[in-house]
Amino acid sequence: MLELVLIAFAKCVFLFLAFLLGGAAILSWVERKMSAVIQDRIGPNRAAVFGFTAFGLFHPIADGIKMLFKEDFVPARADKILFFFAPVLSFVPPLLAFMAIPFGPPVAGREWLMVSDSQMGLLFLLAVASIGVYGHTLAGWSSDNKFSLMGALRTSSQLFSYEVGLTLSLLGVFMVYGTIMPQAIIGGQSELMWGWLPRWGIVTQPLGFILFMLASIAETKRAPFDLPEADSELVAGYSTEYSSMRFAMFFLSEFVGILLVSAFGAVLFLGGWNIPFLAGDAWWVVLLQVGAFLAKVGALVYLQMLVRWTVPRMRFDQVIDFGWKYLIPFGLLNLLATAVVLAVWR
Amino acid sequence: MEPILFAVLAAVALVAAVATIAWRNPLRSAFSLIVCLFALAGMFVTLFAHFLAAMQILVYAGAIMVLFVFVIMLLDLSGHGSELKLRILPVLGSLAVLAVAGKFAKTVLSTHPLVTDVPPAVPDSFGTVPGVAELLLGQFLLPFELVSLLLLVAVVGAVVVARRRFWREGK
Repeated sequence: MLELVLIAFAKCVFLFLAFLLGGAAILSWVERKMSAVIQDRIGPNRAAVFGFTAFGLFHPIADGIKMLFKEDFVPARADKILFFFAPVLSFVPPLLAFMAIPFGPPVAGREWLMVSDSQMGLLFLLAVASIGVYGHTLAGWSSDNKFSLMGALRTSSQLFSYEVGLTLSLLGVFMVYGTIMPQAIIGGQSELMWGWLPRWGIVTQPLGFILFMLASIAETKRAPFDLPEADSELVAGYSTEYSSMRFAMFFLSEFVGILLVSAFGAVLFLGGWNIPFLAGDAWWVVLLQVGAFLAKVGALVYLQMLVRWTVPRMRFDQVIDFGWKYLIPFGLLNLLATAVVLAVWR
Repeated sequence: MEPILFAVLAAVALVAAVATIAWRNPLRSAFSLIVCLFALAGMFVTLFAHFLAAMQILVYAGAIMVLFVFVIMLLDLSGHGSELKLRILPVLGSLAVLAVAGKFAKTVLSTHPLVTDVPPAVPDSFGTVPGVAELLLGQFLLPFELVSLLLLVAVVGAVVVARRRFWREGK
């Protein structure tokens, strides 16, 4: 019992420090550099240690130090309790959701590369991720600021609308592989169709993948769906009144959210840690598979960032219309088509 | 391990439930209710009902309560809700609580001794997705489909009620 708890704790610490904090810091750099390249600028290149700038890689550290030493401001009429809990509530759920993500195959018969292989499977991830909306909603409401409140209202209506579409887009995958357990889904995707085509989710559920990508960009609240914090209309939306480390938590939670939906997409649609035509349990195979998983996550993150800096912001009624009138009907259609095909196939 | 978990979760659920009705501020009440739902989901896990626990959070805490919070924020921007002042409400509420508590007490007393050292005999699939699916879509298929129909009727009814005003004003 104690051993299990200790192992799970160690895995959590490693996941948190190495993957999420490191990943989020690097993502903030990637985002700034990518936006700079897309907009024909140079981007961050000033932070230097002993004259080395390392392509601006020291900027996330400099940002972090700056955030820590800024004044921590709380509006006089803010709801103190909720104002305090809001950043925590936005930061913790995406971290928790990573518990259900397998980073590699079982090693020596145990899930060393996955925090918890619970019976809830990927439903756990969906359930916990659906809680994240409260952080942003609370932040906007408790700040006692019109812009914040508008941001909070937009957050709750937008995220609620797209969560339905997101869940619908996943049901097809669950049906094709007949399970909600992540390792079993990856196992199903490791097979080959007709002896040469990997049976990845993107092959068996192409429409589902497109719907998932659209819904997941909306769930991370980034352009073209960044209405909750639309800078030109709402100052900074729900996080307008936040400063210092509290703001940094919203900032980090956004990047952890990107990592989360990308890892989720990689598990469901890109075969997780599977490398086609490569199997075995030698140490270098496992290492390659973990690398493949990280590369797939990176590819999806890249796709998300590309969309974020290329497509302009939609109007809010368009966002809601798109969610309810296109995403959900197409999700239902995909579900029906999958069910019919599966029924005929068997 | 289980008794400790139960004690912690039960305490959290009780405190949150009391807080739900004790806060004056409706949004704080809503969040207390969410905490209570989480504690209940944790209890479902200790009872091996994994699917139910996930659904509790996904549907109740994650979807229905979001709508609650959304409506509260739309209706009540100042944060000080109008208080219903009906003298009869406390009396009716107390009666309802007593009735439910009496029913629970009766059930508990009739199944004495409540706490046994023997874990309940459940099949391996209990509480997992296949187990719940077999029950819902096999043994209880007809009630399940009837509930879906009921929900559909409720949705159509809500739309009709909400749209009637627009129809009158519009054309």
